[in-house]
Amino acid sequence: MSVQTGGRAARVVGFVALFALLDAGLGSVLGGLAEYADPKSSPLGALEAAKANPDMDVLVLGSSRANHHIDPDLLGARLGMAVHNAGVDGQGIVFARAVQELVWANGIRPQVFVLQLQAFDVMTFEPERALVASRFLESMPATRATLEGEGYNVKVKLTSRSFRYNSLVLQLALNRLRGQPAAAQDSYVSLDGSLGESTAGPEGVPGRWTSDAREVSPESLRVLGGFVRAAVEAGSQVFVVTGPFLRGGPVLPSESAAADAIARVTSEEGGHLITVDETTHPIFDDPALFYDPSHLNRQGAALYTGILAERIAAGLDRAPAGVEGAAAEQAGGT
Amino acid sequence: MLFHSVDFWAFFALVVTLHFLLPHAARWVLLLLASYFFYMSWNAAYLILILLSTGVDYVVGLRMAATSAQRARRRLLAVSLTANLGLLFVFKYWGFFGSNVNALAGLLGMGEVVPRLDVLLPVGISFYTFQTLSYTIDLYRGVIGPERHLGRFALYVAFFPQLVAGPIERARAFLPQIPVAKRFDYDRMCSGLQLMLWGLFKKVVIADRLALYVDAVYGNVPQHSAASYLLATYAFAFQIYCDFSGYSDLAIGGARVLGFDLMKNFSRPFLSMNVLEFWRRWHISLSTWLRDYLYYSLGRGDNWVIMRNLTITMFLGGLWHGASWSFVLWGLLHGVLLAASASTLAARDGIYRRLGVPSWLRRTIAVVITFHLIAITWIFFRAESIGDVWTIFAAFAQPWGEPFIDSGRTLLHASWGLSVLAVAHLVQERHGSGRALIGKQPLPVRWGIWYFLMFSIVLFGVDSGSQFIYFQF
Repeated sequence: MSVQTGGRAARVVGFVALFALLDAGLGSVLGGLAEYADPKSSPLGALEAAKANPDMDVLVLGSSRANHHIDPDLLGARLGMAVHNAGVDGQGIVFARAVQELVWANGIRPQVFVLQLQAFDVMTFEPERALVASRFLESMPATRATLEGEGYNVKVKLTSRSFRYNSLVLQLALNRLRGQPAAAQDSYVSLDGSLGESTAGPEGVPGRWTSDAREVSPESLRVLGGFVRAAVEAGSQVFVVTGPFLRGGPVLPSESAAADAIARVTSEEGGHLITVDETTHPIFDDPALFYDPSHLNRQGAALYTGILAERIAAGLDRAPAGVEGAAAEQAGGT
Repeated sequence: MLFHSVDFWAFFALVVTLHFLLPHAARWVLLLLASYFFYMSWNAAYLILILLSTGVDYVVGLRMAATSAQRARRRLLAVSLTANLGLLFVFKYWGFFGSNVNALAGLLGMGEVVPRLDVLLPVGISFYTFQTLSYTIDLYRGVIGPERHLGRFALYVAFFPQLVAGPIERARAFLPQIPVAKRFDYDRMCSGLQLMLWGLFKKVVIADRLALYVDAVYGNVPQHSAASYLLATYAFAFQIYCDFSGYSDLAIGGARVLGFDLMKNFSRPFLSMNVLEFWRRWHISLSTWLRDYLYYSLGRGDNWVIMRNLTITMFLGGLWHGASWSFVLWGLLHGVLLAASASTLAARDGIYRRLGVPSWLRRTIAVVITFHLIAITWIFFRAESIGDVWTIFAAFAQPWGEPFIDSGRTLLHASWGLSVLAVAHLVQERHGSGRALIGKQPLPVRWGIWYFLMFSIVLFGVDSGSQFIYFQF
């Protein structure tokens, strides 16, 4: 090896080594600001807020449909319990499992888990979305195993100490300047305005999710099963709830198959399934209750939370877990 | 396999390593196989189209070289044009053509006269079709000789860094590079990687971030205010520039690492002083292709002929982008703007001179006006339907309202990358190559700049793995 080649090789090694060092340093600095992440707009904020709220009796988890649909104050008042909503836009079952593991690791034992879930949540499996939880992976063995099972693509991202703060730098810096730590804030955000007035786009229309007739993901069901089983084994009650869409057409066969799979896994693992949607409650055919076809507005969320509270209260009084849903609703009516 | 995926970087590292380990004689085989593998990662079946295009033009090239009879050469050129444009028509334009003919037939009370073909658009078909056409046209014109080595010719058609979205490379520039033995060159590799880093920065830090805002507004056109449409249109201008020029930088940089030089595709187009200059700076490989193989073929003449030819060229340029009336109108509008720009250039110069406008002010005014003229055309390019275009223009005639501000602070995040882009462009305008300037700095400064870009990607990049916009063409 010539002197020049050796020098260049050393330079390349030095460049990479310094990058690793800077990555660790930046990760450490940003980690020190993590408490300033906003729980209403970032998954990291939701995680920080959840682990900082030791008083919760009920933990609500799920995607934007949990985040915007389940009003914790209203649910808490109806149940007489402290409710914490940690629903996050764009997240799913893997993230829910991550939050569950995180709160347990911090000594928080919710009596009840409410997991807002839709058919499309088990028709895809995108665990890399839960990479946002990688700051806490040491406390999340099941989530860690799920992510690491995704191959080198995810492993590379897990290796970085700074990547876990992707898209958060400005938020952390601004909130730090304002002196606004997330503390035990909730993730719940109500949506104002109804369909036709709001600026929401047509994304999330059920037909768009299911028109390609995707099949149920066994990996998603496995994570769902693990979530329910772990909670039941820990002595908690689990309510898997499905909510309404403003549907433009019939329920597709692939969607029904996914809903059946959710019901089966929930039941097998000892959880309760509650269905409160446009098929069980025709009132949710009203566009005035929706912000966009997939999200209820403030008025719709209040109505939905109220119905849900009654169903959860009934479920808590009833010792054996079982599948509830459309049949019971149709029989009982609302 | 997208350039901004871990998969691609693993693939690229493997190809580069093998490329420099293998003896020179075997490298074209590696690059050809890698290119086909790269293409098959999208849709394996459509490799047949590339093979077909390659086979036809290879044979046409050999036959054309074997005869000097003009009639026979013309017939061979017609074979190449028919085969390549035929494939393009079937896979890209059939649906558009059919739906319009059927709509017309419906108005005349007839049934469906053009059958539907449910085929997916093959990635990059517009690019490699134009690339291989440039070979047969140049051959016909006697500008180049035929490539007799099938493998090298196949590599020219399918070279993976630029296969799916250009630059549309000319045979006369690329083919002679293949037989040249390439030794591993550390400086060249660094230069290529630096360009790739810059391209990646533009793609994931700026383009993909702005896309979140643009999609939110253009995805729900009736619900937004004129102020939102204005912001989203500005955002789209920079999104598409950073998306496409970012891709081009990745392609050119990747090729450079492997020892190949590809043509420049962008040169700070939003600093253009008129629309003519814009097209000398934007998608240069397409605009020069259209100039050399279409515009010049339409003949020369007086101002009216020039304007007519510009309009025809840009109409077809619009259609090249996509099979929809939005793209046709986008192209026509550019044709009209080019014609207007060409015909009023002298008069505008005269007005500025008579008014004694200082050159810096004149430049500023011209750049701002040109940017806004181009921005208007982007509305046609981005809108999801012609109906949406009219809705947007109608909104501008009403009270402008409040701009839409999303909860994700998208525009604030994007401003980080846009600020870096602005500084880079100003440096390039003043000093030429930004990388050459950086290269003259002491090591801590150089490394600091590259680390800054790398950590900007890590911390500010959008990790969505979204496609490059031009892949759809």
